[in-house]
Amino acid sequence: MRDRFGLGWRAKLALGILSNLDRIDIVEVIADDYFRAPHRERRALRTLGAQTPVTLHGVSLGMASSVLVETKRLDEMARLCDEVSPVSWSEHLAFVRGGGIEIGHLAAPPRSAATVDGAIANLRRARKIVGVAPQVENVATLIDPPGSDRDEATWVSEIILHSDSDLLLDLHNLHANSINFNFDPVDYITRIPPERIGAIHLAGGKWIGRPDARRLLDDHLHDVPDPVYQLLEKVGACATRPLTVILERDGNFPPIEWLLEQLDRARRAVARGRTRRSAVAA
Amino acid sequence: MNPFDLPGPQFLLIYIIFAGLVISGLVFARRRAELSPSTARIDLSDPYLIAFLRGGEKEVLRVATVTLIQRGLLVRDGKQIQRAENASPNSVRIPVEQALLKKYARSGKISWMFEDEGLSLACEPYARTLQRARLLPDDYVHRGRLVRLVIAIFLLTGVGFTRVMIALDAGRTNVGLLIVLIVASLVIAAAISFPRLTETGKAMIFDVQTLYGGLRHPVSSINAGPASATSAGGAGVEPMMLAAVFGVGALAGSGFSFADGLFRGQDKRRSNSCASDGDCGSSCSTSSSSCSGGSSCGGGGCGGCGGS
Repeated sequence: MRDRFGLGWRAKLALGILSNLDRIDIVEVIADDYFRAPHRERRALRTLGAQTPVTLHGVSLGMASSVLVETKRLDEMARLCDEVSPVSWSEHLAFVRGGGIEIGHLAAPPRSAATVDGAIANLRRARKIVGVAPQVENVATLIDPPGSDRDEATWVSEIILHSDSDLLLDLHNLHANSINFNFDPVDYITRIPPERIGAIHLAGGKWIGRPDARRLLDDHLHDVPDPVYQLLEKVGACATRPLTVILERDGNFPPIEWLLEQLDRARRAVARGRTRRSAVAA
Repeated sequence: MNPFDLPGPQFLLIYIIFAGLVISGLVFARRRAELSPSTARIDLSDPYLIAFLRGGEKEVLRVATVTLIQRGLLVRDGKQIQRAENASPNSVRIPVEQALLKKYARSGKISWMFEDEGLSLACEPYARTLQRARLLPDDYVHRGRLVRLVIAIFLLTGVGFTRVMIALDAGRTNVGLLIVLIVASLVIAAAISFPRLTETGKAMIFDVQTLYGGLRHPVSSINAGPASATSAGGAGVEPMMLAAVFGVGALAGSGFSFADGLFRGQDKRRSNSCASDGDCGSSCSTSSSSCSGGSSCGGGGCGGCGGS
């Protein structure tokens, strides 16, 4: 097994992706786009899967909630996984609804024992219904979730240690949170069990707010900033398993060559980390 | 009750139902035999391969002509085209493009390309590739189709002519309508037995059009500016793929509007994907409804409290 590097599938990137499969190892597809799609469109996804490995990424299950994820939604994910046979699937450690109201957004829940327990219960159900445990992704947030009694690294570690789910570590989310809430992202990485890091998300964002109170927004519309590559190198040095690294871009699309160059830069960063790891082991 | 003893009108009704069942069975059996459970893997970045899948060699020639005009290697003058003065067949790598540049060393009608054997030969590798992927029928598929058709002919003529013989034997000669029905059912059975594509091929066209649905949206932003003269890549590849996947008619409204008019009236079948060889699927209505993707962050940021 080796590290894999790929792009998020977006319709406007289709030609660029399908024309450069020699430089793209894997494609990440937003699963929710296909839950209610006609059979023929889901079959197109299977055709994509015949060209390149596919991983499915969910955005609407709401795993990190004290409320159980609806069985219907997990059934939809299970059906899609059966049809597409992805190499893996993932969801966010976020809540997206409550009291019958859809937030329409991936919200960071209070980091408490209740949400740890709720997330673990949801992940167990997800594994039981889908057949494979999802990887879980840390989310970006612009507000420190009220009601939290532990820091994010502790909260995430507790969830992955007590479930079968590995971590999909979104490094731009981590970078943004570390800036917005003034903590050390490298310390965060070292506190995550290295054998449980399975995948990486890379993205970009923009500064928002007044000059004296600027915050970094993860918007997926900008290039991956330098500090994120530095974090990636750090993860490459500590992660013990092959990584799947996905570059996410949701709009403001540059030429595909520019995205591929960012992907190559990510390869080099992980390779540097792996080399460091080998040197230490030797 | 022996159906062959039924009065004429009742037997005709029975025969129509019987022929309908046989023809339906023929279609069902072909679909079942030709729809592969596994998904074919072909080079989805090759516009000519996709154009061939969608509409055969004529579509390949249409797409190649448009892209060569866009790259400045062919020059159009009304319904005639000619190789540009500074162009040479050696300046391109793809055989069908080379063949087109050779063919139009001197000015000629666009319609001539559809009758040229050299151009047909240049397209043959696409047919072989698609046959290997079971998207076009190969000899094995053809044999299967033939066997099923022979069985259908046996059933349709067997039942029909048994009744004709019984009627003639009884001295009744009013069997003209039944004979017409027999012939009509045979014609229909033969006509539906040999479509250009396999069922997997038809499905693949829809899949490709779904995956490339995003190309249709920015059509007005595609301009016919110069692309690389020597390769199909670069600035020209998006409109080229759009034409390959959806037909040159899909370029209407863009800087390539000339493309659709170029072939209008040159062939009975329009160059638009909806009319090419009858096997193109529902390309004109296809969009990327499920492929437009994007995470919950969408294109407009994360709404002020984070993202995925």
